[in-house]
Amino acid sequence: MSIAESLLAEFEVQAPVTRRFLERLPEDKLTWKPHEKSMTAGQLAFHIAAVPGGVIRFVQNNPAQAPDFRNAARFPQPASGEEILKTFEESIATVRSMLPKVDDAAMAETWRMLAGEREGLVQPRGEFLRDVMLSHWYQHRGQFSVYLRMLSVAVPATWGPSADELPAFMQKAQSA
Amino acid sequence: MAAIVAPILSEFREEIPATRRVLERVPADKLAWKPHPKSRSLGELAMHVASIPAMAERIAKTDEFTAGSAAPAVANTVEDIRAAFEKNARAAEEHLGQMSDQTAQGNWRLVFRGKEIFNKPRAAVLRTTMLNHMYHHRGQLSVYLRLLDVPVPVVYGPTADENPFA
Repeated sequence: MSIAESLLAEFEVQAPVTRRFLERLPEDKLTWKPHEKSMTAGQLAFHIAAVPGGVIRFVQNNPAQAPDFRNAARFPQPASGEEILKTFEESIATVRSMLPKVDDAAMAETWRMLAGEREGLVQPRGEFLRDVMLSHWYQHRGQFSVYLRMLSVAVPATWGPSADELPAFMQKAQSA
Repeated sequence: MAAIVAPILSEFREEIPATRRVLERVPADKLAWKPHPKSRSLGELAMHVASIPAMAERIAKTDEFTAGSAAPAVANTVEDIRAAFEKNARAAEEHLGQMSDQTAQGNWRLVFRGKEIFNKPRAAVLRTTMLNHMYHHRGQLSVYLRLLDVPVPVVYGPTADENPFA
C-alpha cells in the first residue's frame, strides 16, 4: 500500500465520523464560544470542514508560504450549518482527487513551509500530511467534542464510546 | 527496530513534547473541575492522556484486550499525572523500539461484552487506538485549559496565546 493509499484509507473511515460532529452543531449556536479567546463553534466547525482539502492543496507548493495566523479572516464565521457541510463535502472531494496523485517519492521529498522569510517547517511532505491533514484534524475534532458537550448536544463516539454513544465498531456487541 | 513500526515510533517521539506541554499546564487546584456534568473531570482527562501511551506495552505483550476490564488509572495530584506520562512514554518508546515486523503485522483483538470488536494488525491498532486517540483527548484538554484561563500551549500551530512561527 502506498503512503497516499494508507492516508486515504484512514481518511475515508474518519470523514463520516467527522460529519456526524459537524451535523450536530445547532443552527442557533454558530456564534457561541466557550471562552472569549476561543473560536466560535461555527469557526471551529468550518475549520474542521476545510482542513483536509486545504492541506492537500497546500502541499502542492514547495516551499509553501504559511498563512498569516494573526489574520482573523483565516477562520471565517460561517452563516449556516449548510455552509459548513458544503465546505466539508468539497474538502472530501479535493482529498479524493489530489491525494492519490502524491506518489511515494513526492511523500518522501523534503517539503518546506516558509513563515515570512524564514523556514517555519522542514519535513517530508508525507509527514506534514499525516500531522496536519489528520492528527491536527483529530485534535480539533476533540476540541469540538467539548463544545458539543457544553451545548448539551449528544457527543458522537470516535476512538471509543462517548458518554452518549458507542462507536459503530462496538454497536454490534451492544445489540447482540 | 523493525521497519513497520518505525514511523509510529518516530511520530510518537515527535508528539511527546507537545503532550508534555499540555500536561504541564494542568492547574493543581482544578483536578476535580469539569465543564459539564457528563464530562470527565480535568484530573480524569489529563490522567487518561498520560495513560494512553501505556497501550504500547499492552499491545506489544498481548494478543487481545477486553474493553472495560481495567479500571482507569486515578491521579490525586498533578505530579502523579506528569510522572505517569513520563513513565508511560518511556515504556512506549522501549516497546515500540523492540517490536519486530512479525509482531507489528500480527493481529490484535479488542473484545467487548464477549464479542470481538476488531481484529487487526498491531501496527494499525497503534495508529488508531494509541496515537490518534491521544490527539483527540489532548485536543479536549486544550479546551479545558482555555476554560480555566490557562494559556494554551502550541501543539500543531499557533494558539490564541502562543505562536511557534512568530
